[in-house]
Amino acid sequence: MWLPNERVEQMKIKNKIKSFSCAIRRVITCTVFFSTIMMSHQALSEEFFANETTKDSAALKSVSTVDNSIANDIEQLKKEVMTLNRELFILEEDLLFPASTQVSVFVSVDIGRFFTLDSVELKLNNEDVAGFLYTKRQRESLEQGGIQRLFKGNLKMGQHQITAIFIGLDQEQRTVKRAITHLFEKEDDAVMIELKVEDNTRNLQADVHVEEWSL
Amino acid sequence: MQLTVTKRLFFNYIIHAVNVRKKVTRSMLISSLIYRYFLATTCCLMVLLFSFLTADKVYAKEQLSKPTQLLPSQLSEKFYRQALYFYFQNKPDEALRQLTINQDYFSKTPVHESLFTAGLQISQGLHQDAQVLLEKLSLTTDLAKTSDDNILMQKSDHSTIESNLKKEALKVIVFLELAAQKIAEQNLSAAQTVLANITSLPEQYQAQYYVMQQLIAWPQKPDTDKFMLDKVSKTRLESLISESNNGLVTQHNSTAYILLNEALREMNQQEFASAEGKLKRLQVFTWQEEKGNFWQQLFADKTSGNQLLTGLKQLEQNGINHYAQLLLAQLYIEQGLFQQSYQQLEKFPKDTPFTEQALFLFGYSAFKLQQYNIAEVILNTLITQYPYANFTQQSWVLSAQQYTAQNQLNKALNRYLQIEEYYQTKQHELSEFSKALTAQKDLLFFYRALNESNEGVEVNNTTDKVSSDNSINEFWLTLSLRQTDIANLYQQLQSVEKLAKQLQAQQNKSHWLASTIELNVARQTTIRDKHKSTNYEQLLSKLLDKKDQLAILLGKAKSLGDGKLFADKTKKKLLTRIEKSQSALAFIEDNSQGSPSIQAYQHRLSRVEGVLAWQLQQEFSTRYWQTRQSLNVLERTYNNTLQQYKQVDELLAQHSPLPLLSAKHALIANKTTSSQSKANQLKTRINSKLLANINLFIENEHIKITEFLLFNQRAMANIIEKLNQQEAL
Repeated sequence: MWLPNERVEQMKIKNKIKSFSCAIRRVITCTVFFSTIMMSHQALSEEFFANETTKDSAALKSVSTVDNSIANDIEQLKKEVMTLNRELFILEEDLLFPASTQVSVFVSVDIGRFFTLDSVELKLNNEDVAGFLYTKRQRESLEQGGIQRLFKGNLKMGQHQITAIFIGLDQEQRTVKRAITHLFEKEDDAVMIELKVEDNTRNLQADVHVEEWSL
Repeated sequence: MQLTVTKRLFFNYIIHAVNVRKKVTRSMLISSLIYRYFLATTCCLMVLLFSFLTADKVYAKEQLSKPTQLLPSQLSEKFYRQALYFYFQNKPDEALRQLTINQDYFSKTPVHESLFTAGLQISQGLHQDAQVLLEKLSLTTDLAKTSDDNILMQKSDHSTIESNLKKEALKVIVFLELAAQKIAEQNLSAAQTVLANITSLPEQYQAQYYVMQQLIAWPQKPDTDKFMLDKVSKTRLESLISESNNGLVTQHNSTAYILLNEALREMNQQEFASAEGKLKRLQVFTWQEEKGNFWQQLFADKTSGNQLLTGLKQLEQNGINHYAQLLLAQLYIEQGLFQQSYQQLEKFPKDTPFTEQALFLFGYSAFKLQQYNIAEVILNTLITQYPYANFTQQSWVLSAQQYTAQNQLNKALNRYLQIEEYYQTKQHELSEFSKALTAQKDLLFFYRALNESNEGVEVNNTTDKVSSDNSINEFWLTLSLRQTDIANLYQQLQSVEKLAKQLQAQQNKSHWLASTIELNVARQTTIRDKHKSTNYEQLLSKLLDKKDQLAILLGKAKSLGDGKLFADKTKKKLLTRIEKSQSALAFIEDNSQGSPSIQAYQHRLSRVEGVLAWQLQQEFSTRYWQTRQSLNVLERTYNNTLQQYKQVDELLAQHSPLPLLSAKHALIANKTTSSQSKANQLKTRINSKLLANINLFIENEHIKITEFLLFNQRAMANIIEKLNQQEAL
């Protein structure tokens, strides 16, 4: 039934069970069950022991209960840290990218059946300003509806040109490029430009569209 | 591949054509047709081939489009999707930050966004905030629901009903997750309060809801009458409970846990027959394919990521099966049915998390059935291979008892002596652990050491052979971590440590921002000073003069057409020299009464002048154009300088945002320092509490071991007495 040299394997399985138990929402149930069995077995063993011993365990000192005030303090501290993080982020943005000069470029992907995004290059007034190589996870994040901020910078007021070159694979795994050039006017408010890679069912290809956001 | 096929086709056609050409002699007409066919086909194929070849290459398309202006509601959705991207990148803190920033921008937050926020808050441990948000959300959605109901009465919009149902389900998920975390914190009353918020329960969450109620009510049976559910949900839940009690419902996997909980409760209440039936059903339980949705994954424990693998599902199913089997064996032992428990454990698989427990119960059953050989092997395995397991000391005692029962008194005595040594070693280890603990102020040190030495091995692995003092300390620490209160305090200590690190990172960033503000202020001051010290008006007037001079020159050149106007320095010198020479010659002529040589000089001089004038006239148009260009450039420069000057003037007159930013920064810096000191205080508080609890654990362990030692010595005395009696006989 049991071979000592298989101990390592058993530990691996035990680890898997544990990590899995943690991975699911029912972890609490599992933990309670496991601890219950441990307790019940302990109880059984102690019962077995009690038959042999005359002394009971009344001498054991009970530990204090869970301190909720510490939990509350930690939660309060967490909240403070998050608020500070947010305030610092806003301060950084106000300082480095004031609205009067701010320009942001976002990328989104709609479905992504006809175009598997691999990388993107961004030019602002014919100068390379950003490039991004996508991992599988990042691509999936976009395909699941996420919007990525590709670039954030500063620009003078006036007319500017943005060029984005998307490189990826088509349905037949051939390398294809999709490019778009967009002229925009920078005024007092921050400029936010979304580059949308969208599937076109009519020609079974992906197109890039531009959408400008305004607050 | 396609290209190769095309090439082959192409060559086939060529071969075919060559064959055709060989038959020319047969018929000229046929040959001509075939030849034309060949040409046409070849051309088509060439086009096709070209298209295939170019298909591999880059296809770039350039577009020039006009931007689309968005409505604020659409924009809010875009911002929400940015938070989603962060979430998918496993950056929940950044996602939450993005959502809070969104809330500042937009006055109205959609329900799904609020639910997302609440979910993220729960995952980040901000339960109070999540609860407040959910309560607020409950009120608003209730109001929205009533208004929606009115609209539905009129329009009966199907999509609106669906959307409301979805939102309701999402709300239930968030409440369930919050309750789950409260249960994990052992805060059962809070969990009960959270669950009371759920009034309508979708079918797929019934089992989960009931499991939580079971955990809260343990060891009692949950009272369904006290559930705050509506009639429909309550009826459905009751039918699910009765179904799961009568037979295993595999529609939802959580029903297995309902059954398991119920079996445990019944065992606790000595209702063995009913528990046995349930455990037997669980022993053969098979997992159903069930896909968790996005929201469930979102609010679940962080380690879950987005993957629920089938293999792991299988492991969980096996876990339930084996656990039920073990419980069944225990149930038989409790009833004194050792044969049944023996049979159950005989076929117990070896690769489970319950192997140690199963081994002990198996050994115990074998001992009770007087199968001493098997019992001896099993107990020895536990003693030698699991020296630090929970059941090892019981195994020692059981082994000694077995020898006594077998009347092998010497062996029994020897075993009791070993047990005494074992307990003494344990007490020594505990004392060493206590000393090491007192010496080390930062208790996280032990935990870190444990993680480093157990790379990839489970933290509470208590059964590996422990050799060094450090490993022994780690072992006792791990054992102490099995106590819920100690484990909770350890987790809290880790959380505070993590927060302290975050605060440190934020402080570094704050310093960097402070220096950036400082640099900007310095730069602005330099510009202001330079602007004040430089006489821009004078510079501008000089530029204007230069511009006017050029304009006059061009005007003259245009009206006179004289090339001399654009003469350069050398030519100007020559012109002046000629002029001087002419005046000198004129003077000599006046005074020398018509010398022929003077006339010759004059003649030569006018020839030189003519050549020079001709040269200048040749360059006139070029020079005129160049001067015109220079004037244009000068004009542009002048205008730009003037504009820039005005702009700088305006900017310097404007109120700079830097003092405001600096004030904001100072506020943040103060807050950071205050939070840091709070974190340190909290760390010290938790550390001391943890130390006290571990010391208490050590004390209790000492008491227990002393008790065991006493029992052991008594048992040993009995054996010695028996041995003496035997010797006397």
